[in-house]
Amino acid sequence: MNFSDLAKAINHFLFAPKSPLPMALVRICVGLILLQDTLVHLLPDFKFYYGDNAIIPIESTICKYWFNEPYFDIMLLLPPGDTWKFAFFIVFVLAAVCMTFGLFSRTSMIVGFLCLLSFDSHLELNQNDGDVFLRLTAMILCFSNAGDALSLDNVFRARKAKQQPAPSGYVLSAPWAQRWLQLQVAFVYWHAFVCKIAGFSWISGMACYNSSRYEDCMRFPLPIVFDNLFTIHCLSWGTLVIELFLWTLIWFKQFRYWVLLGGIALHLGIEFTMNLPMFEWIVLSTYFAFVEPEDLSKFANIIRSYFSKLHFHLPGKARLPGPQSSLNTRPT
Amino acid sequence: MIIRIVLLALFFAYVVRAPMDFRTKVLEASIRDNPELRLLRRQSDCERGFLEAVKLPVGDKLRQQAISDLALVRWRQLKFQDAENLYRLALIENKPSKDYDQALLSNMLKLAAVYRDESKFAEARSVYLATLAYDQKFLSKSDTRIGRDLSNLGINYYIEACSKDRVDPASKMKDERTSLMLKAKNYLDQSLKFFGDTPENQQLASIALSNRCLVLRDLGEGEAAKIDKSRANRLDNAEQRLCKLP
Repeated sequence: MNFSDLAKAINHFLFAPKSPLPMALVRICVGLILLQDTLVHLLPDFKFYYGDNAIIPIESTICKYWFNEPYFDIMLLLPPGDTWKFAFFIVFVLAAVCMTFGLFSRTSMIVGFLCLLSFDSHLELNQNDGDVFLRLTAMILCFSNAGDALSLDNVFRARKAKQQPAPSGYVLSAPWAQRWLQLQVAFVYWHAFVCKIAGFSWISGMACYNSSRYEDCMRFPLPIVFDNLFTIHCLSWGTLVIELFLWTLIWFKQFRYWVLLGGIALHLGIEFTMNLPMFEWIVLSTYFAFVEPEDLSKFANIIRSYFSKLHFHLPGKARLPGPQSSLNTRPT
Repeated sequence: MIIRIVLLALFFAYVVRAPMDFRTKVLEASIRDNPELRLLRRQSDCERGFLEAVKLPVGDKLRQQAISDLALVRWRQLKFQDAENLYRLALIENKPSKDYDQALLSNMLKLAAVYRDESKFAEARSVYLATLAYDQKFLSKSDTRIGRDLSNLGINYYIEACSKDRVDPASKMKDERTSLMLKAKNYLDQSLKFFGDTPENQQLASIALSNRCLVLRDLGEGEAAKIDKSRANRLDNAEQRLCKLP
């Protein structure tokens, strides 16, 4: 392989038109997680976190966390008063709703990301790694073709196009943002793996014992599993193996779904035992970026045929993205 | 597409830049209210000033000032060795002057105090004696600054005596301690003769009395110590000083 072949391969990897279906699913999941974040986590204690008399005033955040660094916070531009901040919060919620339904997709994704960035900057302490990863994913979505499928925008676009030569299927476009998300996810697992093997507890196989003793983070106890040395070793080393595969074998099609299944098992296991708000769900939702659109369509067909056997018809018809949809490409 | 990205970037830059004045004010206020932050800021200012000043020729006033400023910051940060080195550098680089040099004397007094904080009492004593000689050379015989130097020497002897007590409470050491205490008392007695009844001298007199009270107390002369304490208290009350004798 010479340099020209390599350049072509990279060009194909980043820019060969692809279906927006995987990123659309990521968009919907991120939208739902943003709604959970805003309505479940922030709304009940909004004044406590972001009010004029918040537990950590913005002056303290500036002095202790920001210093002179260029933080982005739209709330600093708002007039004083809780009402303005709450209005801004409503904008955030509306952006999350629009993002989920794919209405004004690009605008809603950008607004959602900027609102999320502002809320995270405004109260640095009120976030975990899940918030950081959510922010990164929301940023990548802004540049993606996620609004071109499973969205109200797409429905309106299709209606408009009825008078024109019929475009069927989804509009294909360069998937570089999807690749960016894939690389980001792989990087997260690479970092997690490298940090784990640098220490002693994961190599010795006792890390899961330790983590299962953080009582303030535990959700449902698993006494047998976490009290047995063999299972603790299996879980600790199994985590290492899955995380290794999630940035190596995941790039090979023949292993990808098995590796993703391992990742799903890992994160659902953590979700069951530990209470880390949003973290597992945002990571799992980015897995859609690794799924081939053809396989997603096949999966949708299987579901439809299952429901049709039950004499329950789902809207839409079975459709495989093939040559017919690849005609409708657009540059991004 | 490019226009949209540019507009978004401009908006992003605006949101970051627009509240900068507010943020600067908040930071300034927090630095004003926080001694640690104030010292940290002073440190960065002084380090920057020092790096600029070392480019100037030896003996330049600005260079001298920058060295002294950084030394003071290091002293406040309890980095005594750094402070000592910087004050010594400032004294070595000082241009000899025919007139009374206040900056030179200030650096000498601070170097002596750094030595004292490092428990290098002999070195501190020699510097205090040098300041005394310098003041006696340039000032009138009744100048209160000579009294200040004598008071400094006295308190240096007193702290040295206390350190002897702490190191070894054996009787032989106690003799050395007593002799140091007596020297301290002698210097403090001499210094008190310089402070008259004028209001500007009352603070110096109060300090010297407080120091002599401690010396007398540790020498076992309780009654005399009480008299000094009451005199010092009277002066403190008249001056409304916040720092009082324990």
